[in-house]
Order: sequence, then structure tokens, then C-alpha cells
Amino acid sequence: MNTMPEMPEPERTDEEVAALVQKGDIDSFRILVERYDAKLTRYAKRFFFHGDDGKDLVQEVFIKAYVNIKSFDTARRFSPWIYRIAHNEFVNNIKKRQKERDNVSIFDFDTLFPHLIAKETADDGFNKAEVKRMLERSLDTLSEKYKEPLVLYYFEDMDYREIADILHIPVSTVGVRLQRGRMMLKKIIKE
Amino acid sequence: MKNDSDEIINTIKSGETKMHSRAYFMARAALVLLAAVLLFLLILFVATFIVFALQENGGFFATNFGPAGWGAFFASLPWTLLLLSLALVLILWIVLRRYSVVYHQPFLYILLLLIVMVSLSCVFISAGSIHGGIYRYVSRNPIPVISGVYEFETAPAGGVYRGQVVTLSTSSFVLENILGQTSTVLVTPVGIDPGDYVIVFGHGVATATIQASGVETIVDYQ
Repeated sequence: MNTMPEMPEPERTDEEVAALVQKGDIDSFRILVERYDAKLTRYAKRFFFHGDDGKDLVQEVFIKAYVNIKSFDTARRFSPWIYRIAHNEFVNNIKKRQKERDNVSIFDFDTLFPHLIAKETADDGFNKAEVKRMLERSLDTLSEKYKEPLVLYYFEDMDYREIADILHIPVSTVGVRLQRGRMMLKKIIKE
Repeated sequence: MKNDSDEIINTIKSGETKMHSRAYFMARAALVLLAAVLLFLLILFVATFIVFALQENGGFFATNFGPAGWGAFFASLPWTLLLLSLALVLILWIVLRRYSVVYHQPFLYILLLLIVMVSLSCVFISAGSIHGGIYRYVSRNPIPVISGVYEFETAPAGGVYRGQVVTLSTSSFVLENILGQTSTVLVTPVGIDPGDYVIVFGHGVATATIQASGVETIVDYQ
């Protein structure tokens, strides 16, 4: 009797895995941890930390994600949701250490007034690889306000809307910050 | 050697961390919604009070009296309350900023939307019926703080007086305000009758005596 070769089971999406975790399947959470551990550690290192702090904080991010997983809407994308938790965790940690607010205050003019939406493809004459190279070299000199959208866009491959969901800012503000961030990078490199 | 995912899964399985239930998030969302509704009602209360205060101290109608009237209008604006309502709008924005429908929009749009919603509500809610009763009550039975807020009538800004015409003579008429206090208005009464509601633009020349430089009738207004 001929047997059909066994087809590999299609990989579940993050959202499907999250739905299983919501139903109480703790082991499925391991899949999410394995998918996002390296990404979030890299994000933490690029953005805020250069030592071991990032690793501990990423563990804390996963614990918080588990505790709050039932607040996740499985009809939406999982990655902006977990990056939002990571963003909050990292910013809170910086505040604790520096005992000051992060420089993205609630009264930031960028978020108060409307802007023309910059096109996602508008790179101000830079190509993606070029910006990535410049970013790697100048991460420490850029202000956090511009660094985070640049890291999310160029290294984490997020689109404008996902970045807006992570930072809780208007989509047009994401475009403005990316544009200004790129100009700053250019200026820093020239200097 | 244990890796990170083992450590996290073991922490979860040990029961050290527990997943919040859906009911917990629903209760939290309900609390946020309740806070937002209460804040909106408070903003509405303050806004209708501002309208009421402007109606009662005459500032609302002062613009009919030319540039001097506009000066009186700005002088009669309750700036503290306007700043308070702006502060409340900011708090409401902060409360609702957790929702994408709010944080995806610039604050200016949210502010404009709230101004439109409050203005529309003010059209449908009679400021006089809400605040007139409180005003008359606290005038007779002073309540700390609240009475202070409702003290605008005792010092009408910019020389604007509002009330009902009681009696007329050849060169003056008697005006009664919302509290039943009367003043004599020195002007030749033209086109007004006893019972009319009027706005008087002028200045006090003696106790309960006003030298008027303009009088306007207010139609359908109490």
C-alpha cells in the first residue's frame, strides 16, 4: 500500500500560538519566547543597554507578556504588542536608573499637532543598508526620541503603523521622527 | 544547561506568576471608561458654567457694543475656568491614550473633537437650568468654595449688567438681576418695556445706580 509522504505541519502564526496560551497552554508560550528572545535582546541592546541588564529585562518582558496575554487581541498582530511591553519595560528601567523622565514627554510637540504623512518609501535619498550602517555607528549619539523609531524601522522591520502602536504616537509622527532621525544621522556622520 | 525559555516556563509553571483573567482586563477597561465618562461630564459641567457665567455677567452679549464691548467680553471671560477645562481635557486625553483610536491622532484633533462635542452638548443642555438653581441656592445658603465660584454677578466685568426691566421713567428704568437685586439705570428708555430682559453697557455712578451708554434687549432669554 502506497503511503503519502508526511507533510510538515504548517507553522502556527504568533497570533495562533498566543490564542493557545490564552486557553492555558503554558508550553506554547515557549514558542513565543523562542521566537522573540533574540529579537527583543537585540532591541534592548541597540536601544538602551550594552551590558547584561538587557537580558534580565527581556525575561521580565516575557513574564509581563504572559501575565497580560489575555489582554492581547488575537485579531491584531502580536509583534507590536510584545514590543510595546518591551518599550514600557525599558523606558521604566531607564527612568528608575536616571531618576528622570525619558525625553519623549506627553507634551511632545510632535504628537500634539498634525503632520503631513511622510511616505514609507521616502528615505531622503538614503538606502536601507546605508542607514543601517550609519545607525550602527551612531546609536549612542542619537537622542532616544529618534533612535527608537529608526531601530524599529531599520532593524526590526516594522512598518509605520506598527511603530505607532509600539510608541503610542500618531502614524504621521513616526514619519516625522524617521525623517528627522535620518537627517541627524547624516549630520552626525558628516561631523 | 538551562536556556532562557526553560527559565521563563519554569517560573510560570511554579505558579510564581499568574495570568490575569479576561474579567480583570474587562474590569480595568470599564474603570477607564467610567473615569472618561465622569471626566467628560465634569468638562461639560464646567463648560455650561462658563456659558452661564457669560450670560449672567453679560459678557456673552457685550460684543454687541463695539470695540469697548469686545474688551468687556474678554475681561468677563472666566480664565481660571477655561484653564481648568483645558486641564481636564488633557487628563481625559491621558486617560484615553491607551486606545489606538486616540493615540493615532494628534492631540489637536482630539482637542477639536472634544470642543465640538462639548459645544454641541451645550446647545442641547440649558446652562441656565443647571446652574441658575445652584446659583440662587448658594446665594442664599453660602457653601464654601462653590459660593466663591458663583460670585461673578457681584462684580460684573467691564461694566456689563444683565437683568429684567421692572419699571420705566422718562430718563431711567429699574433693572432687577437674577438674585432679585435692583439698580437704577440712567438712560432714556427707548424701545424697552417692563418685563423685557436687557443687557446694559455702562458704569456704576453711585450705589445701585448705573450710567448706561447702551442698552440691548435680549429676546427669549431667562
